[in-house]
Amino acid sequence: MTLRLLRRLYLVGVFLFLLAPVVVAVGTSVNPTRLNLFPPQGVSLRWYRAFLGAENFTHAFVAVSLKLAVIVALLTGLLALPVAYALSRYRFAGRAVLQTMFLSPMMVPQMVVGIALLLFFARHTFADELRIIIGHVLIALPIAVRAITASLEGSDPQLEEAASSLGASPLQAFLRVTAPLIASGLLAAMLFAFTLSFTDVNVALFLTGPRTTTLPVEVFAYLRWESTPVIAAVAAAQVGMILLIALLIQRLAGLETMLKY
Amino acid sequence: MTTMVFSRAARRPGVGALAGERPYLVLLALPLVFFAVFLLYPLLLMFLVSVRNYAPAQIVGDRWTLENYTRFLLDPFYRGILLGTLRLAAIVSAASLVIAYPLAYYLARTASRAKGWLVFLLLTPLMVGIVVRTYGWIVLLGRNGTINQLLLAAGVVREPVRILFTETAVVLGLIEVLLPYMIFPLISALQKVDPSLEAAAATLGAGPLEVLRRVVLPLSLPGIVSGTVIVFTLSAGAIVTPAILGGPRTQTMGTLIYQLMTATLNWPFGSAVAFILLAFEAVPVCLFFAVTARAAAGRARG
Repeated sequence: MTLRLLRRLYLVGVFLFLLAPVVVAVGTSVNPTRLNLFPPQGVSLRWYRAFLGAENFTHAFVAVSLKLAVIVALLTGLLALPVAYALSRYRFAGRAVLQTMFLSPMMVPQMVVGIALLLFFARHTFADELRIIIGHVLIALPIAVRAITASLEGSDPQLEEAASSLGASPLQAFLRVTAPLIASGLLAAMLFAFTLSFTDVNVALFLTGPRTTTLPVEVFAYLRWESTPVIAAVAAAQVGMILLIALLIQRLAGLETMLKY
Repeated sequence: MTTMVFSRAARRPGVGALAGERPYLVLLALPLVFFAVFLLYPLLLMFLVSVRNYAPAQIVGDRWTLENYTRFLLDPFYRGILLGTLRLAAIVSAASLVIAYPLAYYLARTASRAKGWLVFLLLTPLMVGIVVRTYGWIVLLGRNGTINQLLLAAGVVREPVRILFTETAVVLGLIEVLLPYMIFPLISALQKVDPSLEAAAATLGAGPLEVLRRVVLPLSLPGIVSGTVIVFTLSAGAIVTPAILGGPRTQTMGTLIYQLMTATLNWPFGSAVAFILLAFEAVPVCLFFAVTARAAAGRARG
């Protein structure tokens, strides 16, 4: 009996610890004063208006982070799908090596990816936006490959063989048989890539330019010197959007498929 | 059946002989080029920069040298930052392991319908991003923060305590941010431990603690190792959490490297420091594997 109570208490404690910062960050946004207080001292939309009026934050949110995250999601899907398909449907020499290699950016710390790309771009000129896109695709790719592989393994390769024995070309067989089966897994992987790109700081810190400061980098720079509830309003917008995406991923493929080790 | 289908595909003209015989090459070509150009080559470049001298005007000088590495390792100031960072990472990973293990065990064994949602609640903070959660910690730990309000109201303290801008704040923030990375490897390792082994040990007279020490812990060692390695690496390289929760004067390897690469613009030294950090991150990894191997060998002999 006491054991069960202790277990309850422990579970509640851990989840409180994990979720408190997010809840507090969002809750602080309705404060009527300049103080970062939780529970809020009243209810006002003052800091939401401040957020919408702050060109640096709205630009970073919409014109940089949102736009880049959409492009990153599309490119990651485009690159990860063939990799996952090749690795799960064909057996060939060097397959294990390639598998490790495509999952390796998870082993290389994100900061190191950022630094290496900073030095690379100092030598080879790329457009500011493209720099961040490349960095984000690199960190999203391994997770996308893993998630898409998982959904490919859930679809029977014999279905495709049956289609081709009935005269379908490999591409037709893939598009008309396998693609519909893995569509939700692929979409979930792309949505996860979107959130990775939207929330990343460790890579973007080294790659942002004057007009391409992503939202997390903008907020980080602000927080280093001061903090007002305007950050809470920005956080609330971000948390709302990501919560919707997380629910969508949960329905499409199950969120835990994104983080299997 | 399978062979017939494949040989038909192989004879098919069109996409070319290569696509017929080795279709995976066509699929992998573009991603491979992407990797080689944007990850492998930049990493090589980073190493080459780290063994060049620093030239104020052109940043990366023309001379080959190891002075960036020796300068760091010989200077007590930099060594202090390295040791402080490794200590921080050790505290964070040990605490995360202790907090995460029972939760992972519960989630691996429970048949509760709430499990899916508990996993969801573990993953959403991860997806929300570090910056938002770090701001949440500012609100919680500040002078007028939620924790201080609670402590004052409960009469535990008379004056607000200083938590924000101390090492405690950094440790708390890092544990919270990195805990999911500890929990998931543990869950997958614990799911592989057959519950009937625990039952067998208990039948043979082992108490719950002995079952844990002699059955569950050794069998879940792979999860413990990979979770600890991930959390250690991520906390040793953290930039945002120490920079914000530790205050402007806190220096860790992460904040030092960030400053060198983007403010001081001493790229050769910054790259060398990053490689030194990578090397020291490998030390606990090797140590852990050595201990694991010895424990396994000991069990085999015993």
